[in-house]
Amino acid sequence: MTYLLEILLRRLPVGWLQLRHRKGRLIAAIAGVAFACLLVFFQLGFLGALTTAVGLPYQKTSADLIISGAGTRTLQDGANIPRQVMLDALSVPGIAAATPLFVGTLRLEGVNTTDLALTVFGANPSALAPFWDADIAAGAERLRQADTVLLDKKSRFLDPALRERVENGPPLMFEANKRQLALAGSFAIGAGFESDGYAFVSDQTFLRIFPDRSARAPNHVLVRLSAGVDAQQVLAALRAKLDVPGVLVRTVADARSGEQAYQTVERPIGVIFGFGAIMGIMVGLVIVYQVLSTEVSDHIREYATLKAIGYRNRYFTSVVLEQAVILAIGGFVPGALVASLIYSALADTTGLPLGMTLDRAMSVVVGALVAAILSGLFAARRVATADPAELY
Amino acid sequence: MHASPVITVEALQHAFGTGEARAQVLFDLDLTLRRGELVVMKGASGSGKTTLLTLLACLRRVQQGRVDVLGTSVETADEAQRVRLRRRMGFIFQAHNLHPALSAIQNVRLGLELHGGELTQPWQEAAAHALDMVGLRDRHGYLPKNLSGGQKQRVAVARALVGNPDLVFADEPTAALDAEAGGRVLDLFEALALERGTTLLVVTHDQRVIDRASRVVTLADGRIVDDRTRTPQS
Ligand SMILES: Nc1ncnc2c1ncn2[C@@H]1O[C@H](COP(=O)(O)OP(=O)(O)OP(=O)(O)O)[C@@H](O)[C@H]1O
Ligand SMILES: [Mg+2]
Repeated sequence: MTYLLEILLRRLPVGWLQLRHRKGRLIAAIAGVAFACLLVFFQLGFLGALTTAVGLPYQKTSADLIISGAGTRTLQDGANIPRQVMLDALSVPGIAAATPLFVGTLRLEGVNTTDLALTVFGANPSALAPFWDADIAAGAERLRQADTVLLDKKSRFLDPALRERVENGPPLMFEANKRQLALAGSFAIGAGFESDGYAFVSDQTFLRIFPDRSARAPNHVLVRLSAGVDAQQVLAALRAKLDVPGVLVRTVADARSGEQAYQTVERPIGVIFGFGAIMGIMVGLVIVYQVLSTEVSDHIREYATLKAIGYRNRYFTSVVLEQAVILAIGGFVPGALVASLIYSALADTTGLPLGMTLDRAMSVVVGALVAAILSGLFAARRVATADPAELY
Repeated sequence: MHASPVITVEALQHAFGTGEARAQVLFDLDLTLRRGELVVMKGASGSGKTTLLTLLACLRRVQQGRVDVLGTSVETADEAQRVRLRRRMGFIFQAHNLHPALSAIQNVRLGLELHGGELTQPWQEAAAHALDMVGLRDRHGYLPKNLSGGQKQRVAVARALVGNPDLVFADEPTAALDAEAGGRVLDLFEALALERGTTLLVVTHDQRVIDRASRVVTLADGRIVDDRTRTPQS
């Protein structure tokens, strides 16, 4: 290590030798920085998982535009809109198809060790093929039978035995929302923060499960464009056509990024994670600054001696920065390793899309270096108090 | 026969503090040190020896008077110029001031690295040689805490001399050394003065050093009261 640094720095690695000299302090400092990195990883991991999870259902649809109630922030909270909107939309040139989408919560009780709350979509079975991915569309025929359901095999907390039965397909009977339902097939989306997974039923079944909902008032209307038309132009035309208050027309991509921003920036859950990341950075800054400035004051006499024999301030700054970089990298590596372990453990238990990504590792290591170097520059200012005249 | 002057001091005054608390410690000093001189400075405690040393070594700002070191006027020099001058000097402090986290040889290397260049191998060799010269051949890898007081002092001597300085300033360098180690350091001092023309200014009351000095300057109450050049008694 010493030799390696000597070659890199082209001088004695005095900063490293100093740190190594106080092993207890070095280990404590590295543990502190590792903890700070872990904290940031943890928060960024959850924000990333939140973003990914929010995007999952949007990725399963091939719809181009989505019409929702005004003030809609998420797929789940869409206020009801009049079915007439769909018919109006169909008269706009460039629109090939439109279909209503109902959204509710399906509570599976007594079938699984843990009761599950699934986001259930009610859709016209004949609209599944044009509007949804193949694994969902495959169950369209069987959904035409009353009280049948397609279940998300990637739902969270699914008992292995039940998961196997869901994957293998019918027959499987279970109770949900106090009704006997039959499995019609399965598909894969995955758990989110708001629900344990997803389910599809026909619009008819949906209205039987939720008797207070009306066929004339779906939550959203999905729209597909004709091939080759300009989405923005059709969007503008559709907005003009549906010029009624209470209706929101967006592209599916905008709806998705809008919900992702809402969940991560405005909802308390996202704000808490963001705040946690800032806390981690603060903890790291304080630890590194403390250690580096203690290092400077402990060695002020040595620095004064070196100043006397002709070393300049820039030499001492480079020694302090050498220490800053060692602490940042030394803390980042164990922090990232532990974070990867925690990610996979949490992904296993929560079913959330958590995992170490190169992007995130790069941002954390760059962030750690920048924070440590800033602390180092701050701490290095104390070297100026070393007065070589007081040495003799 | 007079060698060329390396330090010229004219009408040097120095005071600490201001107003009521002002205390003048050096009065109207004139002094010329020449190439190859081994000068001992002695005098009672508080007579101003250390103050004069730090002024000549460019560690303290000149308040009044002229100080010329190695051809540069110190009183008008900026910090960068003073650093450049200090790089041509060797310093041996009363307390050895070794870096506690660095081995003997690494401490000595610090006396070389400031001269720049990127040749770590020659640095290592020169540092090893300097340690051998002060009799620490078998102590290269020792940390200061594992060295005796005299051994630490000799590491400090090696650090001061390894860069082949033109001037060496030392404050009581032999106090912690036994007869053998002290003699070895004095041999080095003498050899430097004679062979390389190094000028050494040593503050000491050690009779062994005084006996081998080429010149003895005595300070009393901030004034030079005696200055005699002598043939060293070997
Ligand atoms: N930083 C300072 N501030 C105020 N007064 C000082 C300072 N340094 C030295 N003095 C005073 O200047 C005078 C000369 O001090 P100096 O250290 O030069 O004496 P010295 O000859 O080296 O003594 P010693 O043999 O004890 O080392 C002393 O009276 C001392 O109190
Ligand atoms: Mg003194």
